[in-house]
Amino acid sequence: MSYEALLRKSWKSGDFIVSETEAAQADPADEATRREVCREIEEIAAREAWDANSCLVAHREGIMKLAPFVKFREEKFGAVLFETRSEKVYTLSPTGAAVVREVIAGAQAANLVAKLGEKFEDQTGKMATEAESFLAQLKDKGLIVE
Amino acid sequence: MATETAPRETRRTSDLAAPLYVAWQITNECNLACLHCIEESGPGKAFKDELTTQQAYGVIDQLIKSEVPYVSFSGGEPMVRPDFFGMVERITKGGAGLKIETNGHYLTPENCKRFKDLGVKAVQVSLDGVTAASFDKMRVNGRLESALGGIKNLREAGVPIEINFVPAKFNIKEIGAAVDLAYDIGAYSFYTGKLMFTGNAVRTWGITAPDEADYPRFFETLRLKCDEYKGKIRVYYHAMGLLDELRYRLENPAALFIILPNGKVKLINALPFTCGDLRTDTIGQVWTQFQAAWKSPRVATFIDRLAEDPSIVSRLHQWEEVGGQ
Repeated sequence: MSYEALLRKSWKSGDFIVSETEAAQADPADEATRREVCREIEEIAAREAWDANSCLVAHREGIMKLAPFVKFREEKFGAVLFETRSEKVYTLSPTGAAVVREVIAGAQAANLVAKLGEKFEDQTGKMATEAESFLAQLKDKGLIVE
Repeated sequence: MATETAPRETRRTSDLAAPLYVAWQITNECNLACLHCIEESGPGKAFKDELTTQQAYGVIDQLIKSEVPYVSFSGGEPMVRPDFFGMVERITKGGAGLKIETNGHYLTPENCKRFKDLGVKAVQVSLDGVTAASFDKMRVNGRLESALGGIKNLREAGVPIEINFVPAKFNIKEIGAAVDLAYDIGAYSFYTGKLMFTGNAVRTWGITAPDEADYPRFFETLRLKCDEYKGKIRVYYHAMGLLDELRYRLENPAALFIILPNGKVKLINALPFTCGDLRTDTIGQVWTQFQAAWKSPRVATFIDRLAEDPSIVSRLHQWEEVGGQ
């Protein structure tokens, strides 16, 4: 396993721990690769550091939460999500707002959709499908982290 | 379930219970005296009736209660207010996201660490040029090396950095290098647009206004930089002129208002109209008045007159209450 692959694995897993076996298998990286990986990681760390711990907790426990730059506010029509980095606004329908409320409440990724289906007596499964798709969109846009 | 929109297109602004963004000029005092300053700020330019600490805290408490998600502190230079960090702490602990817009001259390592500790979401530094010759010319009393030193301290403290660039006759050709510099110093966003004929720029237009023929290349460079830095730094630019912007806003008011240093609330920077006073009115009242004010014929008439006589922007600081009680 290369130096770069080890670092990427660690970053992805959230453990930041490399076993002795893995370390022994690591090839020494060339200087250019080392610099590039360091630069990438420093950049990510610098930009996300203030909430990295809570993101990692979310990751390890399989729960979802709003991304550090996202604010949620209830409105008569549903709710809004405000992404402070891009200053973009996302308007949510009442159902969308319900999904995000569950996320804020710390729902686990694995059972959030089922929980919503139960709560709203979703007989047809339509809402569950929509909620699943909606969650995927929120993740894709970086509005929630898992 | 969701619609992605810019703030101005969020359903209708009047559907919202409160603004989504409050831009608060917490003082008109400034250590610099920039050639283009829209607020005509500078040393000794604090308003006589600026909010006291207790009044400012009262406004913050209202913003928190109204769940305003994002607030920016600007000025003048916001960091010259003696109670600046008290205000920062009160607002971030209340749960609102906070951005600081500064000239960067007070960004000591200690201050940057306090921003980090207090969870400030972003610090926007004005960097009008990549050379001392252009920066120092635009920012009278300012020094490029001071601003860059402050940005370095922000980066070391882990505070997210935004850069703002205002084009002038003598720096417009530095735009490409300015985006490169912003990326190199660790910024995640870069903002720019046309120089506006308002504030100090009215008096300095002869030495600041770029040649209109330079703008197409300016915006083309920005477009190319957007592509070059995609995924690395967000480059935002606003190609509309002042009049186009105001006409658009008349139909699509943004979900934001501007708090002046004395607590009065302005519809938008580029209009002289206020719609309330947070020393006496609640955020809810001002928000209602804000909706009414944008529909006022006086606002539309002013914008129409602006098309015929651009010099009327010199009245921007002669505030007129509209839409209030």
